[in-house]
Amino acid sequence: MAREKFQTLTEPMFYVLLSLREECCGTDIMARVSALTRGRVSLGPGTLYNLLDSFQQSEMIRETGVSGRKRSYRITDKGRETLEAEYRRLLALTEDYKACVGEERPLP
Amino acid sequence: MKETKYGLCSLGLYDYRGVEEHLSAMAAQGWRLEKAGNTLWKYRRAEPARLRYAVTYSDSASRFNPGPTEGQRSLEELCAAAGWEKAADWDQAQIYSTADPAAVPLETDEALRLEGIHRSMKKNFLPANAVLLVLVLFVARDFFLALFTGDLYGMVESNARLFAAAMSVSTVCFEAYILAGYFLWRRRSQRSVEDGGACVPVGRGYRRASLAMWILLALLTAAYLLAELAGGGGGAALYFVSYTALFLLLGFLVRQTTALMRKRKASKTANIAVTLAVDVVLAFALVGGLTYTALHYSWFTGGFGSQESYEYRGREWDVNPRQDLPLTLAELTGERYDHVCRRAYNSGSFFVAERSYSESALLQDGPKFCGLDYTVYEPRFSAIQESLLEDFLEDDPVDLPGIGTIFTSRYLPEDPAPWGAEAVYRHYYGETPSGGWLLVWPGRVVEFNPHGPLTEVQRAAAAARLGPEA
Repeated sequence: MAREKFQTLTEPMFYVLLSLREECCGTDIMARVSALTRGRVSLGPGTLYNLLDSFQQSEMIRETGVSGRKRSYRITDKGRETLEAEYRRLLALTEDYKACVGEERPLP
Repeated sequence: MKETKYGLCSLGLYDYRGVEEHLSAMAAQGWRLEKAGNTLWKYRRAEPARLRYAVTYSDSASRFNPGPTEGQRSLEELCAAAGWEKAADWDQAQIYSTADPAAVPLETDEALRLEGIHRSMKKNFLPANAVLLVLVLFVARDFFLALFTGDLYGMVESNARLFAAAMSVSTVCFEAYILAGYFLWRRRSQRSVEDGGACVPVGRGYRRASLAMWILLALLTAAYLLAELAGGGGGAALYFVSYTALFLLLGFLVRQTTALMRKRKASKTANIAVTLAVDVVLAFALVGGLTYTALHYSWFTGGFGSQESYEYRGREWDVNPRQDLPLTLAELTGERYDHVCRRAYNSGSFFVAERSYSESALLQDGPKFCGLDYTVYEPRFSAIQESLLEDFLEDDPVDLPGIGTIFTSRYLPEDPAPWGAEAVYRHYYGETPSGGWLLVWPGRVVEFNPHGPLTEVQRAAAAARLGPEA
């Protein structure tokens, strides 16, 4: 069954929202996500464009300025709540993992 | 050496992989996409290169926009930062290219890609195909009506109807295949993405079906034209060719209007309104002009390429009346007419030949015109003849608005012996004979309308000329 939109976040969604805790434009977001994840997560421009559009429609981010072709965005309270909910979910997953497997034992 | 060339596009709008692979292959051969139209893509010559192409979708894109939308500009900015250059718009599909093999792909989230594609499909591909489906059903409405009422003759009575039906059935099958193909692809891609995979490849079915459809269209058109020409329907063939040419001209002019409005930076709403207005006005003007020409020069009634005429007592008469009528007024009455106008034309189809004749004549300077018209039907199969007779013999109430049925038009059986026919029916308006006859032989039906009463001798003479042994 299809997952309800933004109930849980994919990695690109999570990092875009995380980057927008500070105001920045699309190209900055791509650079920040890459730096933040040390190149593990690459954000394609098409994906970012669609994400920014969806987040804006869902009022999770807002546009803060336009300079030429560059548009800047920032996370809203709703977006922040979604990001924190995802963080708590990930923490819960981590705690569950630790409870089952233990701190030290690596995954087989 | 040619600097530009055109190619037929047989890819689905959602087949981003197909587009990417096709354009990369073209770039390797030294051709770059310059413009992506609905049917034809334009390429320009360039140095052969190893280019990567990628497609992303922007549902705000439209050919009626005065230029790229803010969304498209933002996308271009993001793509440029990632090393991608805009190649062309193809409706909502935004096509980019890069020479950098390490450039980040345009799409890095398959769920978002699938969602973006579906948003774009809902805006263009799905409604356009649904409208086309309704249109083709409308074009062949007479055939389908005959099919649903079991009227075999109604289904096969003309080449035009058979052609419309064949086109319609093929297009309906094609459209159903295309629409089902998209939904199936989306369903399979959804499953794949939910399992952490990518959207599934579209496969070659779409391209094959598109190409097959073009080939079928060409074959059906050729078959229709040949059938019309072989049956003596030169006027109908000329009308069809002219109509097709005007239809292509209309499409060209409408696209030019959209492009001109775009160039003048008209708003999307203004562009759509003007394009639609130009489309409707031109369609009426072109088709109206063609129909007027066809009727004025009697393309459908034997006038096409026909006789020289002169005017006498307010009517047109033939200088050299045609001699190929099976039965003339002179043969029927034994009179010699000084002024004659004869027409003959073919309609019908491969399954039932239908040839109509008419003659008007003036007896010296006599006070009244004489006339005769008849249509000879030759069904290839007895089932078609039975269906044709059913159509003729069905009572046909003649209604006047506000009054109701004033009388019933019908055929009633008569003694066939004087005609030497298998069966004969006389036409009546209510209880009054109209002068029309229906003569039936195996494999031949004649609808015979002499404009006056006939003697026994004249009936026998008419039957001898119009029967199968004539």
